[in-house]
Amino acid sequence: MNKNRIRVISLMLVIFAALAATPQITSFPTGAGTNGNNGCTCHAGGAGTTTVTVEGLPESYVGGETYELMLTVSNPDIPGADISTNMGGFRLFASAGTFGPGENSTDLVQEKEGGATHTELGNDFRTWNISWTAPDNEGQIVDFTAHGNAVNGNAVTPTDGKGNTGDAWGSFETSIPGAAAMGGGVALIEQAEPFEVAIAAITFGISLFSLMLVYVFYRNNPDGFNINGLTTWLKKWLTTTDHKEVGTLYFVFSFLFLLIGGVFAMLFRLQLAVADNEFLTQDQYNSFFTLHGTTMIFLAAMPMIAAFANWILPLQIGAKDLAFPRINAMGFWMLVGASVLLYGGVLAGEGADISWTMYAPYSASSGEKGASAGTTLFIGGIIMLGISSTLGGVNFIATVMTMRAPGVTWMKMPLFTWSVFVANAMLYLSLPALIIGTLYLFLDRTIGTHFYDAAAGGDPILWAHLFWYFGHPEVYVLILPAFGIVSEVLATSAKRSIFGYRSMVYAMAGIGALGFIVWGHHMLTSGMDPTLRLLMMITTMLVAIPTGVKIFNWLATLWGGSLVFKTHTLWALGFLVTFTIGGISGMFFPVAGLDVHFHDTYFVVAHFHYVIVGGTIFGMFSAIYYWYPKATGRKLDEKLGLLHFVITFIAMNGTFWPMHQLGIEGMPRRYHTYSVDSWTELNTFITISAYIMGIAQLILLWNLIRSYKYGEEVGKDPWGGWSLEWTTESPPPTPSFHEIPTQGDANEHEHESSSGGLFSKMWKGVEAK
Amino acid sequence: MSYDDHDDHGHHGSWSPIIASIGTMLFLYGFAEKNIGLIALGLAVLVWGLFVWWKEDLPFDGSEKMGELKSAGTPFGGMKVRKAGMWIFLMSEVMIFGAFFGAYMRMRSNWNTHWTLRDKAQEAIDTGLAPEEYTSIDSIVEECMPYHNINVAKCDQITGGLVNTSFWGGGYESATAPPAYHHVAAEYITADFWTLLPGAINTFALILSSFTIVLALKAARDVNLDPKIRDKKIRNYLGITLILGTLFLILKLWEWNHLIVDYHFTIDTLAGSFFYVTTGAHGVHVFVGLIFITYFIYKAHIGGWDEKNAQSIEYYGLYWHFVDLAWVVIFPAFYLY
Repeated sequence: MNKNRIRVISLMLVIFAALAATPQITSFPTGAGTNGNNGCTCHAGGAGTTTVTVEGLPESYVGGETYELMLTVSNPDIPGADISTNMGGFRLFASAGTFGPGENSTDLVQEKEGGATHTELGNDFRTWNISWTAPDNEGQIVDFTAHGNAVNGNAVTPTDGKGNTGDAWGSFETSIPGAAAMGGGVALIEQAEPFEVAIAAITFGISLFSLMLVYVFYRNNPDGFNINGLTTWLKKWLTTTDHKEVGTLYFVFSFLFLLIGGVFAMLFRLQLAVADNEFLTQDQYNSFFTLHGTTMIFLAAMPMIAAFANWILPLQIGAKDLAFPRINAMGFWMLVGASVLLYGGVLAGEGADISWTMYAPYSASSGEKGASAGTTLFIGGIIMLGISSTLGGVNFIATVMTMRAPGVTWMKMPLFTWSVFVANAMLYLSLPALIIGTLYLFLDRTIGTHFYDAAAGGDPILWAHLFWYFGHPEVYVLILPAFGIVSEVLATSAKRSIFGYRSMVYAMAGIGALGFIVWGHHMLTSGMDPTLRLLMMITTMLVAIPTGVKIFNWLATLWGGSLVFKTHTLWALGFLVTFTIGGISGMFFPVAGLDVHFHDTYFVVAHFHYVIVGGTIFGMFSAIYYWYPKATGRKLDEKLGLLHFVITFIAMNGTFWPMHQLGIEGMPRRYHTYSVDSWTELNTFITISAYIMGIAQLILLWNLIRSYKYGEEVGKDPWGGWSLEWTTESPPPTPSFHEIPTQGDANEHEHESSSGGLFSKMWKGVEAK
Repeated sequence: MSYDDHDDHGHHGSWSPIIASIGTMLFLYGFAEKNIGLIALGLAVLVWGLFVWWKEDLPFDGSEKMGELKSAGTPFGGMKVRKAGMWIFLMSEVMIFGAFFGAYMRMRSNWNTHWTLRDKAQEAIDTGLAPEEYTSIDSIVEECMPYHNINVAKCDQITGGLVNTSFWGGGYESATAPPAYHHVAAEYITADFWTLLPGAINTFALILSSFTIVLALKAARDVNLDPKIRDKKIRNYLGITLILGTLFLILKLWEWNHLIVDYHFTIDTLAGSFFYVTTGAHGVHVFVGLIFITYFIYKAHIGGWDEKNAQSIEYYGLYWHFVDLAWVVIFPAFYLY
């Protein structure tokens, strides 16, 4: 056992060393090797002593100021006056700041590898003008190193007609302090490139994640711990087809990407905190918000839904596993492959900059003014995501349609299962439009088709249609499972069955059907036929009806029940508040006239973050607290949960509420920066709130890890739920049920276990007939 | 369903998903970087993943223990789960070809531009810019419709410049404007015997292959046959299906070659984009079918089929019929009309 401890500790040390080294590699000031080069001996040795002088350097520099320097090389033994060509050369380096050619020296001096050197033409001189721009940070001391060479020219005392008789090198070194280092001026904190921050954060995250994996493996069985067992353990996870294990993989994957997506959001919120900020370049900003959106939707929210669907759906309908376990595992691994393609571009510094909507014709273009080079890879990743989700969708639908246990009839199916069923039906029927759309885009970028190129008769609007034909059902795919979760959680917490079960089912199915005929409201400003605009406006507004039915049903469930405030209940109640706000702000967009004003402003950003964070993510958090005991046999810590909820709820509203006002005032989304000073105040507030919200998620992470070992142990049914997942052990065995169970009635369960309020009793009376 | 068998299907783990995922990733990466080596490597890894899958599938005997569960409840009660899954998957395939067709129809019917054109035509009539003889919207639209070999000058004249060439995105201004699909269809495809002939042969080849796959299924289910004769029959029928499918692909490539070499009808025009990508996507479906049928023939060769696991041929047949059906829709839409 001691040996194993040593092994683990040394493994951890290696990982920590790697972690410590990671940021160093990329932030070395001038890159490796270039600073130590003393110059060549291309002219085979030399004579005498060469003096190098640099004039024009200040006593102390002012940040951002440009100085004109004059570098002179002189050697009494090799007088320059007799020589007309190949008189000398130089290299000049500084530990900070940037070089460029000085006055009248554009042809003679060039910037090379972070320093300055002569050009081929500049060979014929011994004095050069160089410009040096000081760094912004005045709190440091800049070291200068110059190497100068006095050459004997081509024609003087030749033995072979070439200027190879004299290389006389000399050096010059000095240091210049910044204004602040002398006491005064502005000392800035050393800034790293945002790309480095992002990559370091991701590397850090992944290393921490690997560390966690090893730790979890170790904790699994501390006494019998054996490092050789690690491969067996890893093999189990890499090849698993069990729905619970694949669900866990989905969950871990989605949580990792939730944090990575959050890092991107924090980086560009820092950029937007004040007006005219230059923290991120435009390209960085574009690829960061592209990756933020795509990551959050495809790599965080959808996999988390898939995680719960994988874990809970078969348990709820009393199936031993999903219909096609291997295809299920393939869906997950396709997702992992897709994430590599999506991130391949940004890690190479050429991240896709086309936003998650990938609008043609920009996304189909390339070259200097087109989308960046990583875009092709990114689109390949989207195609792969499509394959992954199709496999998952077919699987879930087949499972619900064919594998329900006795008693789980369509109209007695738990609402979470219903919501996953409707969501996946929408997803797999709408995905083909995205797959074909991205296929066209991919081919446009690779083999030169012209689907979206207007100059060749193609049609960029076709992309918008194909994308939003998928895109709008997609946002319902994100929210419907949250509806299902909230229905389960509220009914269980209120200790009664859900109010209006049938209307809940019809509402969800209604949203599912309507979702396919509303996509045009994303394109109201695209020059669409006014008749179509009217149609889309009406159908979009119709969606509010089934959604409203659901909200009133939830309220009625609360009214008739006796509510228990657990953490998952808090999240569900928070969901009711924030999702309703988001739903109401959403009702502004289908009004074509208002949409022209709101289109592409922060009002849109506020709306969809209220429904996605306040809806989907709150629902998912509720599900984490609700089903964690089922998955692990231990409860999450309720105190930490309360803390997590309160901070996240307040910070979430602090982040997204002010965006409404900014949007109405006209702040555009997707812009790198803004010049309106009056927006700074709200934007700074948003940024601070965003950081609080982001950091608060670490509480959840800690809670998840800690409770795995130390949480309160629970039995089969800690919350008093009625559906079948609570009839099997926690955690469930494999296969999930020893005996296929038979589902009873929600109301009978409630009748046995507790007495509800007056309202629920009235309703039960009706059902009892 | 029986509940006491403790079936362990799906819990033994499989390397196939992760290998196939890496293969797909490498293939797409190679495609994006236009690197033939990576593309080939990706496909090879993908096929490796398929081999792993097939190796696991080879001993499949059609029993519930091996994963062939029966469906319970509406709507698929009593049906095998995999069959239901195939039908559900085919629904998404319908949507795939629906998207191809939707995009194609949008291009052919000018939905993207038609209403604006009508607006402009009405405006030209209202303001009196249109000449006397053009009194109805339709008469102006007839002249100004793009893809109808639009006469730019005339259209400009009869609408008083309201509909101008820039309206069509500028592409029709230049002398090198790409040929409209109507044009292409009229000139190269619908009227050319050497394009229509392979198309017609292909149609019959595919329909015939749908028939032979049913014969293979019938033979596999025939319990009265001697096992050796049965294996041979299954192998031969599947073999004919393979040959017909290969014939389809060869003729398809020959016809593409004919269009490219003789008419210079290439993929870098709008019409070419739609034609080659749609028929190509169908061709890929045929090709994937052929890969699977090769495995089926191998399984028949080693005597792996009997009446208990013959449903795999049936599920494959469902896919194959769908691919035929898609061709029956593509052929008239792209070749005849």
